[in-house]
Amino acid sequence: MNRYRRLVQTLFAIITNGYLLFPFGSAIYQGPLKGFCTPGLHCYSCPAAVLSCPVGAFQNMLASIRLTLQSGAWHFGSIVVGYLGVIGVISGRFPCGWLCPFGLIQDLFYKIRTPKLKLPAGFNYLRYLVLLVLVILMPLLWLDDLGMGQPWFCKLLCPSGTLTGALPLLLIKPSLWQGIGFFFWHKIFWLVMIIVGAVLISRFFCRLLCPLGAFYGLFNRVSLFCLQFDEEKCVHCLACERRCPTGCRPYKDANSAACINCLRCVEACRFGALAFQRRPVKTSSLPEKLRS
Amino acid sequence: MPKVSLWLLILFVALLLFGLNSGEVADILNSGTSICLSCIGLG
Repeated sequence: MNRYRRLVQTLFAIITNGYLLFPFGSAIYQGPLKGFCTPGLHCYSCPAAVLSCPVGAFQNMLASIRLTLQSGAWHFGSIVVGYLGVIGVISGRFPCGWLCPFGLIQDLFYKIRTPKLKLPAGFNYLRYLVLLVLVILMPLLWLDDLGMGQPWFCKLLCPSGTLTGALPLLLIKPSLWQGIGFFFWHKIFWLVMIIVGAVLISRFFCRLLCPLGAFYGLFNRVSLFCLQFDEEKCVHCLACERRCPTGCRPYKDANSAACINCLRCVEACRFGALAFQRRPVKTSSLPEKLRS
Repeated sequence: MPKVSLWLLILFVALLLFGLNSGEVADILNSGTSICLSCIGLG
């Protein structure tokens, strides 16, 4: 299962980075596919990216919402919210575990052999603050003289933008070097911190800071497909907990918002106590034994 | 299908269709086809 997942992650990263003409043509892909968003976090200013980033697109729409409303258009990012919401309702955080290019990058960094650390449980909620403040409130409310906001998550924090956007673009477009200033070094600092974090703590960015993971995580308890735990088959060997890259305990809470649905726990359980399948409909509040 | 999931699915499909109908794809295309200097820390 994990090999299959790695294959899917790699294929999806290749597909979303299918523009290989960037050294010869325009620095980034400018074709019609950029009108669609990838389900994962991947900077649309990456020279090879063929799809747009949902977090960046959403912030840009919020940042210019006053101007578009003045022109009579109702552009408040509903297409992005709707798109991500449909994915979330169907599969919860499945894209985090299987489709996100930055998730794959973190998985690879975590393979570097060093002593590993555990993330204290309280930090799990920081990503909701990032979603609320950097992705929604600041682009919407912090305006410049022209009445425009800024994509503050991209500007201040996004490591995908720095790693897959800024660094390759600076290599192929030396004219951009003159724009290097405070925000660039600020982002480099955070990129280094996040990479060090990813080497020491599994899925560091996903668990701590990712606003997309925070949004998808809201649906883990209601998604149509979800992880299901069969208590009668569980022998409490804790193999699922040991294999979980996000520190979840599927035997206690199979649909925690921290779970990225990578299904490593399903693979680890030799007793069939865990399965990823369609969510059952609760037909009665009575326990099954009493109903029968 | 659980009722909550069904209603949420209807809500998000409606939002998606509203966005498509109001031309938000063009906004995404516009932001995606130019180098986002903020995204790369140069603006």
